Amino acid sequence: MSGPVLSIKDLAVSFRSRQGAVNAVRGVDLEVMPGETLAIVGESGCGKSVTMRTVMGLLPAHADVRSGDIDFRGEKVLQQNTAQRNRWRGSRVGMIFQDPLSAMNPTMRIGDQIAEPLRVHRGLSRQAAQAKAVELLEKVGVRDAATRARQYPNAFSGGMLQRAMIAMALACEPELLIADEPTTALDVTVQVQVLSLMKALQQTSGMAIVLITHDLGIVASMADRVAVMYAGQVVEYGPVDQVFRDSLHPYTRALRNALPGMHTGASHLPSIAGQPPDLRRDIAGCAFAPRCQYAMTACHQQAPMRQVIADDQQHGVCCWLHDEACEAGRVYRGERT
Amino acid sequence: MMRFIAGRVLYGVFTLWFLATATFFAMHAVPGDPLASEKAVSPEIRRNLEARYGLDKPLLTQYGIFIGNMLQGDFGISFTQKNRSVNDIIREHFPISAQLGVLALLWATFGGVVFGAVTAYYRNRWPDYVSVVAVIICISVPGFVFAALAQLAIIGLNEAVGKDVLPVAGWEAGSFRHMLVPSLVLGLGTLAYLTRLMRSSMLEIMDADFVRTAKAKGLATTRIFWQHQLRNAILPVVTVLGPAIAGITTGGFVVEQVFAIPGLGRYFVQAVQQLDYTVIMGTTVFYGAFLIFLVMLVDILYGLIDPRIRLAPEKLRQKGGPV
Ligand SMILES: Nc1ncnc2c1ncn2[C@@H]1O[C@H](COP(=O)(O)OP(=O)(O)OP(=O)(O)O)[C@@H](O)[C@H]1O
Ligand code: SF4
Ligand SMILES: [Mg+2]
Repeated sequence: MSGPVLSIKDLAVSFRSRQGAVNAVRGVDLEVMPGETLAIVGESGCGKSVTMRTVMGLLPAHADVRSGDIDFRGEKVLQQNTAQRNRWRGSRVGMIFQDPLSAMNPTMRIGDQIAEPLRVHRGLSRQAAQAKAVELLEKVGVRDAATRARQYPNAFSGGMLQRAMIAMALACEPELLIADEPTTALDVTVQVQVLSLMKALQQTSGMAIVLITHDLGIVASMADRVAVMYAGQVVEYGPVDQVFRDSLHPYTRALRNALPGMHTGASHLPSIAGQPPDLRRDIAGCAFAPRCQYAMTACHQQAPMRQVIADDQQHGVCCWLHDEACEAGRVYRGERT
Repeated sequence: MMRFIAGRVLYGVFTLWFLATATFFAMHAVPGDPLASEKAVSPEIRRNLEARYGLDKPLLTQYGIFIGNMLQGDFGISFTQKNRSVNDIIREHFPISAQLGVLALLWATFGGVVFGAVTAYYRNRWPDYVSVVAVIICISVPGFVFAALAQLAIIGLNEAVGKDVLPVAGWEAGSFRHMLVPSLVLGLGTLAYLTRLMRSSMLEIMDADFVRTAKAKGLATTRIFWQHQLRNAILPVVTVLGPAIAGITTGGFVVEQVFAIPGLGRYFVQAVQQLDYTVIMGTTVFYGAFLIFLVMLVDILYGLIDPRIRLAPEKLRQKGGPV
């Protein structure tokens, strides 16, 4: 199938609060291609979760979608009501969350929770759905699945529970899996197991994965493409190796430089000097300007436009340094390694 | 589970013994004479009566006899109703109180759960505000005021319609008309309390991560409510069912009095007024045993609803275990 599975255009989301609107997402563009893994990275609070929750219609009541367009295989997501969304939510798009223990219903058997989407979306009978749930549990590597299916979440370890969550999200064989920091709450060894499980399942099913993570090591080992977010916008995106090797945005570069052994081991997003901007205020120029060592006058006055750099149109960045007319940019681009 | 139940039974027996002992000595410490109602009895007859009830013996001996009889399930003969045993009184009048109480409890729990869930859904909109005011009134105004108001309302209703739609007071075995209003009045305070409890618990659950998961699974709102929210939100309500039952039991004393319902509560109040030792002791111990039993049932019920309680030891064992 050609064309993106999911495309997000100019998405803006804000939260109403007593101190005014918090502009959590300020114009995000993203595309997810069939079968690929797209990683989304960025500092805490930069809007990764809000973006993907908007796709799934999981925003709280005090959130407003200010603008944008989300298209999942022809479904105009933002124009749909709950009933219309429920035709694809949980069946054609699955989602897993950070803390599997709180994300599972504590008073419902694991097997029933996995069987639920099958019963609702596929119309399977109770027995058929249960049998399929046990099968799915086996597939995600839960031993003694028939017994485990009858247990409640509290009888599971974190890693096992995340496997069960994956089984639940994949029950109806979705085209897209959204994973919001699926391994952050798990031990390092378990992280690797869960991630390789996701990878293996992707290879057999051909589904696309959106993987939100803080861990650049995970990005390097899991993802085909990466989108770097900063203050509610995508500032750089492209194939993982290109983005890491030829980082275009000063923020990406700062992240990479702060992390020498990035390609070798598990590595959390390094912190770089300064604070992200206050999302309650209007940001006039480039949101990164206060922390950017290359910031110029133009950066504080006007927000940079997205520019596609590489010849194959794959690698894009949002920074004045990459404007044709930018003198300083020539130097910056020249010192690119 | 068996060990849990055995532990609760043992604990219950100890509580009962303590209750019986405390009541026995408290009662005998109250000034007054249970035989005072006997009009002008000659000293002879009085001695006979005292001997019959064992009042001539030292207090500790009386206590021993009382506990002994109690263990055999014999609560003795009423001081004021000479030809009736306390066991008969309980057997005859407790079912009436129980019918009233069960009905009141049903109103309170169903009403509390439904109103609580509804007001949570209408958080900070008018149905919620109305319920806040109603709840405060129902909790803070004493039950006898509502009982009296309800009677006035019934009288008004009957006059307006021109016939007796509902009885103002009284009791007929098996007559729902006679139970309706007293049970509503009896359940009102508990209903209000449970509404509040259910509301806050529902609000918490509505934001819970697993409800978000349920939405992400594409489940319909009604299914999320029944399968995921209700069962979890109801847990706090189940935990307070014990105290709620106790509240309805004691509330019944007043309601039975006002509506002239011949329940055990009314006899208990009468017995206290007349210092009818055996009836006081018998009903107190009986009520105590009854409540302890119900609270135990509630605990078991809670364990059935919440697997975290049932599987507690297993959870500890598995925590931090291998993946
Ligand atoms: N429920 C909410 N109510 C109000 N503001 C919110 C809510 N959820 C998120 N926000 C705001 O939106 C911004 C983006 O949050 P989001 O959860 O998307 O960040 P994130 O990139 O996922 O961060 P993290 O890496 O910590 O998960 C944050 O600044 C936060 O203050
Ligand atoms: S636009 Fe300016 S401030 Fe923003 S990242 Fe580029 S150089 Fe830095
Ligand atoms: Mg997040």
